[in-house]
Amino acid sequence: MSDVTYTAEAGDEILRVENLKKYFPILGGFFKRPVAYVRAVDDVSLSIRKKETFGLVGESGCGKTTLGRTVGRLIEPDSGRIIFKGMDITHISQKEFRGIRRHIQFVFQDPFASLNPRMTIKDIVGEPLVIHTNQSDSEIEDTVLELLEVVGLKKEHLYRYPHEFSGGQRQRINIARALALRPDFIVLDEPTSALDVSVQAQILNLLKDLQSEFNLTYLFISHDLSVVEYMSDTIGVMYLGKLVEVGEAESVIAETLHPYTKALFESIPIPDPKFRGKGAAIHGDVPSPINPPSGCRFHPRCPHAMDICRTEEPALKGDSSHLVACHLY
Amino acid sequence: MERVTDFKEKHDAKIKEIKYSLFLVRNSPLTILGALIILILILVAVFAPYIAPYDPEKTNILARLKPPSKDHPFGTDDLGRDIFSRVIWGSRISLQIGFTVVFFATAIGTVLGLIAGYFRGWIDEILMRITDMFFAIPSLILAMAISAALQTRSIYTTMLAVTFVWWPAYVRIVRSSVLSLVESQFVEAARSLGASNRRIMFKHILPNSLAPLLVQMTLDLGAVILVAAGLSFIGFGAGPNTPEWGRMVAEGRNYMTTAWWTITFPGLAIFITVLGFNLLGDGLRDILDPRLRR
Repeated sequence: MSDVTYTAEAGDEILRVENLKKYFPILGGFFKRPVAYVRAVDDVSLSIRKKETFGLVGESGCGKTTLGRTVGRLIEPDSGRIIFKGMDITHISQKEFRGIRRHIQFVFQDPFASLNPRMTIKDIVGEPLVIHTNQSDSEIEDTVLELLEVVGLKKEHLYRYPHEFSGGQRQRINIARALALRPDFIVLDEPTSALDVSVQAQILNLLKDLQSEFNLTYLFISHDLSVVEYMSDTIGVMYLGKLVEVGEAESVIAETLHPYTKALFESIPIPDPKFRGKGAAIHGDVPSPINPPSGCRFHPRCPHAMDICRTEEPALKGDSSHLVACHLY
Repeated sequence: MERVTDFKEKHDAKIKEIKYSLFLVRNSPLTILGALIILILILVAVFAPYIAPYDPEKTNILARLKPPSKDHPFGTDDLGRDIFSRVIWGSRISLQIGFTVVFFATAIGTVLGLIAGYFRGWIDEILMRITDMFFAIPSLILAMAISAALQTRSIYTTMLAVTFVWWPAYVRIVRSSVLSLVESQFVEAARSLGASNRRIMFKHILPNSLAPLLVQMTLDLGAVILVAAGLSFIGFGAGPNTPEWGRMVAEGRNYMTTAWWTITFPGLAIFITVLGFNLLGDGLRDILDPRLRR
């Protein structure tokens, strides 16, 4: 795949996000008026092609989860547009969105919290079918059994409760539920960050197998760059609500441009006792998204900060297969 | 994949759950005692006509204020009615009041609590201010006022009055667990599947807030019976001749110095019933405690 581009050709594209903004108000004072806003997602545009994995990476609190949720209308965006399969879904009513919801499914981060402890696996995995189809109980049971097999669980698991499963198994249940309606697009919100490394690998491989089997498109959200590197065809890097670098995975990995992305790559631990890292590649904390720094938001922590960085916000630029928002380029 | 058909294998998880609950109950003798008291009480109430030796409303002036004896194990009252029979029949009234009030208070409180906690905003604000108003007035006084306003005296007016003051507590309990559950990831997951509000409220949130509700209901059965007995004691309950425990204590209090049995046995019946429900409720709280469960 050499012609991977950030702005995919229209026919190839499944999801497009244009200038998306989500500011969460902070209410204060006697009348609960907004006194400030958390700029969780601030003017982000991206495009995801059919059957690819778009890896979205960034530190905690950079807005990647919020972005993922706005795509599924779990959070209503403040402005911008979300276009799914050529249809603007930003402002359609939740009722109209129900039909589209079938095609956009989620796998959440915490496998221990995302399954209702009072429901059996059959009811959990079968729930989307109950909501969206008229299948009889016995048809649903058959479908659920099929799904369990697909994700590598056994038939006797059908009547168990979530607390009887390990983290990895629970995440398989979550995946089975997300697959139930045969969606085209799955938002994977840190699907492996709560799991052991060995289990992580199993789940990631399962996700890859399912992707080719069912022609799925993934929005893969993670703070773990090594995982994103393994999974993604396209990588987007977010910092404080902004997309700072985006492009074809190989290109982003081989020719990392943004100083923040470089720092992220440098902070991946190398399992070699002889190799001693230089310590943290970037210093300081993430500034508050309530009052982000002027100009380039990364400038207070950037080793290459120039005068222009403090005053002028850099725009995403570069060739279409690799864009970066940095004054260095 | 073929299906699991064996019953034991199919319901393995549920069987394990029940076994574990029984194991926890076994280790708590007070819970068993409470459950036993309630069980006996229910049996007594159901089989009252067969157990009671006399008609509870039959007066016999010739045998008035007789001390406990073989013929009258609990003695007789000032009108010669058999106190043993009256206490047995009284269990029906008390349980009836307890279950009815708790049932309706829970039903009203659960629905309103779900709505308030789930939708928040102005509806929450209105509902919670109304419950605040109820909490600002002593419930017994309010129940008395309602009974007085209703004019007629029967156990049904008592039920109505007590239900009316009782539901706000349930709104609070349900709302508080809804508030935390609404934020939980499995509710968000259900929303991402396109589940309707009603489905989320009744399939996802309510079953997960049942534990505190069940404990409160059990404890309240005792409390309601006590309040109802209190209401009849001061004359706002069942009509004359009704074998209601609170009323029996009230009628017997003029003779307590000379005929101690007139108030002792109905009083003990109230005491044991309330104790039974409290022991069971406390036990349930321990058994349903999520920290004890896996």
